[in-house]
Amino acid sequence: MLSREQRPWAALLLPALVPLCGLFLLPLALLLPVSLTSAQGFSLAAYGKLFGDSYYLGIIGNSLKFAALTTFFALLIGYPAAFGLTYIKGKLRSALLLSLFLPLSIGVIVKSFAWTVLLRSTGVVNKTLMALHIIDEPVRLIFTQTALIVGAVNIFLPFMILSVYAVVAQIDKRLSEAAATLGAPPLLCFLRVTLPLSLPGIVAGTALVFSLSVSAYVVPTLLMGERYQTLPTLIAKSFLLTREPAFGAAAGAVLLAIALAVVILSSKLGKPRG
Amino acid sequence: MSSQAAPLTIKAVSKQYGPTTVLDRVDLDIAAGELVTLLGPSGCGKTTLLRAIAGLVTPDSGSISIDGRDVTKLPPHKRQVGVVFQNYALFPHLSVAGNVAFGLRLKGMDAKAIAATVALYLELVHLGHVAERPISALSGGQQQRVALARALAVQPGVILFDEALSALDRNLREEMQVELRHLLRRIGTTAIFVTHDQDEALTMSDRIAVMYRGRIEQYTDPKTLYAAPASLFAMSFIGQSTQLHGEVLGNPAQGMVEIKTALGRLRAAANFAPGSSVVVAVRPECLQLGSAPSAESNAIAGRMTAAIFHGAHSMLHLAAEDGQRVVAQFSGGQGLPDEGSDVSLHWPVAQTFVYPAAEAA
Amino acid sequence: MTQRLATTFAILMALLAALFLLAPLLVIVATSFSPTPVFDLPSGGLSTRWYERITRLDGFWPALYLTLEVALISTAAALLLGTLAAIGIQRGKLPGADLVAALLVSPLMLPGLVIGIALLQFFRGAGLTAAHPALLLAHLIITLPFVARTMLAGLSRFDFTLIDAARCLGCNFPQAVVKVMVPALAPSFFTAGFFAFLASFDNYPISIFLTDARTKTLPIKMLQYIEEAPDPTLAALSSLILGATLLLLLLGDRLVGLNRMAGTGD
Repeated sequence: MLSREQRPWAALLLPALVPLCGLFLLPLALLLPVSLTSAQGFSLAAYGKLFGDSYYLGIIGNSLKFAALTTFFALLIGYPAAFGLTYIKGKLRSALLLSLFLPLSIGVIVKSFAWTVLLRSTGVVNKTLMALHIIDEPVRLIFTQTALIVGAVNIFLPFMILSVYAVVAQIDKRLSEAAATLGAPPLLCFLRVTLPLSLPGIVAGTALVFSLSVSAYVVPTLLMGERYQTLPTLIAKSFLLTREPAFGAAAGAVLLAIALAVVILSSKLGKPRG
Repeated sequence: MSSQAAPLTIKAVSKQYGPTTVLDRVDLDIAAGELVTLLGPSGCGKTTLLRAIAGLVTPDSGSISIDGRDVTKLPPHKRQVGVVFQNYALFPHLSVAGNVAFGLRLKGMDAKAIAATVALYLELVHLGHVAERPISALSGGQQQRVALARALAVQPGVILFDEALSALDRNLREEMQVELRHLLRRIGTTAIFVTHDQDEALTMSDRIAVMYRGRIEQYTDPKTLYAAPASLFAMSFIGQSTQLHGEVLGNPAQGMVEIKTALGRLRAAANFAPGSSVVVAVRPECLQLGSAPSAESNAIAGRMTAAIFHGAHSMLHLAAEDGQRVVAQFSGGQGLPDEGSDVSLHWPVAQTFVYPAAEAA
Repeated sequence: MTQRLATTFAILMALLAALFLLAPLLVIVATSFSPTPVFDLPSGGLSTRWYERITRLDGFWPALYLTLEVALISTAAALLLGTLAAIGIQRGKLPGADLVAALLVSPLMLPGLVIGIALLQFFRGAGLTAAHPALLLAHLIITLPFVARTMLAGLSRFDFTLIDAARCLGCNFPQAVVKVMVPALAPSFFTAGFFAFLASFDNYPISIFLTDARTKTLPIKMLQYIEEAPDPTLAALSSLILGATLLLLLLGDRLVGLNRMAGTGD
């Protein structure tokens, strides 16, 4: 199957592929049988429970809604910001990149915790709003859906910006200049040249942020607590608290399916045409 | 510096990649200190042959000997063959001096000797003043010289150039060709060039090996190659030529043929049976205006379609009814006929070449 | 005119985004110096008492030690395995190389939580009940994709002709790789190691399913502290983590350049 010249190179892949298959592919594949098992053997009860109860369907809906909103706002802010980053040069750009990398490298727990501090009734946001006389009494910010989205956008924004930036920074500026010399006004230059060229970055960023937010556990738990159940919190509970592995595995399979759909869709969309 | 030039012998070297035969029983003999060019279009096998000499590719069969030693199975680092690559392959993490010293360090020379040798070879390529600079700070031409100095510093018996000048712009390239030849002569190393640029081959080589489809078609010095190409391919590849299809009518004398073409009857010194399909070729600079003044000339007449001025010379284009073209070269641009007028051209029979039509692929 | 407006808007958004991203971090640092147990910005003077209390947090030192150990070991292993695989993919011209590359990077795109529960079930079924080895194995899956992604990108920019050149100058094959490829790939190596280490250090969704009462990583401990008894000690701990990360990033900028770490510009 492999030629004599190819074999040594193929051998280099083996040390990485073995753990990947054994510790990743295999366990994931084995989730499916777990979700289909009950005390009586093969059973679809777990899925029945998941899709049959409007409560659980609502939870799946929560996750998707949360992910969609987070991704939307991250794109809204992140897309122009990524362009802005390309227009800034020198030390300021390094400083801005630092402000992107630093939150990325801190970890979700520290960041979510920081937001809980910010949003407390005695926290900075409330204090500032009162100082500016916008409100008289501290408003309950924490444990609201708005706070959740704002916090999630804050946490996942660097992923969006860096994904778009990686693509946009490589766009040859002369291409839109060429469009301009052919008679296109700036808006058209953007729509017809820059936007399509930046599409791989948009797709990559959207897929990444959607993926991360639909599977987020720490963010909703810390910022919304018990009030807002998502698919991840359901999965964690099933395994750690209520000891329902079949149900948890079923929920996990659904989450996995969503993530796979995102990956496949984004790889189809992200491919340049022609 | 001493000449340690090594002679090179290649016998029946073949190489296949899958179904494609890239080298087909190639034989080549290169004398010590000779400058040889492997010339041919892309896909002819010249780069593969060069890489086989370097040891980066192992032939399927045949042998390669350098300085009497059979190196066919030896890896590159044991062969004492220097290579200058097309993209220069300079190490980005080392300075100019660091690059040139690379091979010397591997030989275990002491620091002082290395520094002296590096300075010597950088001076040779006129880059003594940039020794400590990073590679990225150099222009393309300068990088090429560093690559050259690096390869020469280890004093190889043979040095190979893999389209090394093709990335330079035209003026710089021509300048480097002359300088390179001069430098190699001075050092005395055997050198092999690979190029598809026939001007470069003619300028730099003692001998040229014209390659086509994995075989060496002709191996001779530039002047002979230009004046007496052995095949239609060589004729087409080197210099310009007018080519006319024709049919052999008969043999008017021993070793002579008479050929019927769309532009008239031509005679040439060749051996073909009557009825053979042939291609008649002649170099543009051999053609003169006017009808044939003597029996030793071939003559054609046709309508002039273009006169293209190239500065020091002009090219005249003539067309036959069947679309075949004649190209003639004249110096300067004065006194040429007008476009559209009927023109007669003649040239010596002795400068006429005839090849079998089957060679026209 | 429109072009100028658009550019200004973009730059403004970039600056605002940076502020937005840094704000919570600044608040945390400020709060860590608060003189009172209330989560407040220090208005009555600064105090470092919370920093001292970090070391007395229940289970802090074992958690820190475990997290560092797991991160270092899995990153080292991932760097080795991932780099070898990346070389094989980029140089080998193997059929299906794209598929293998996608597979190597795929754990990044899939929910860590699901990988966690899958590993939990798998290890239980295989009879591996000890948390420590389970964590080490699981974290390899966390770090490997980061290394694979970065090294694949770095190798795609590497000119393999350099190895040919080194061999023709007298190096045998291993020597050529060490003298030429290693220095050229060093920035990618650092970037890969950096992201892999942090991914392991900060990981929650996979670790939570593989720990037991005695074996907890720092992120898990932190979430525990936050849910049980949040006080500014956590702000102090977070600030320390922030400080350490900042130092690493500055080092990275010095050695490699943040622009290159972002995947653009060389």
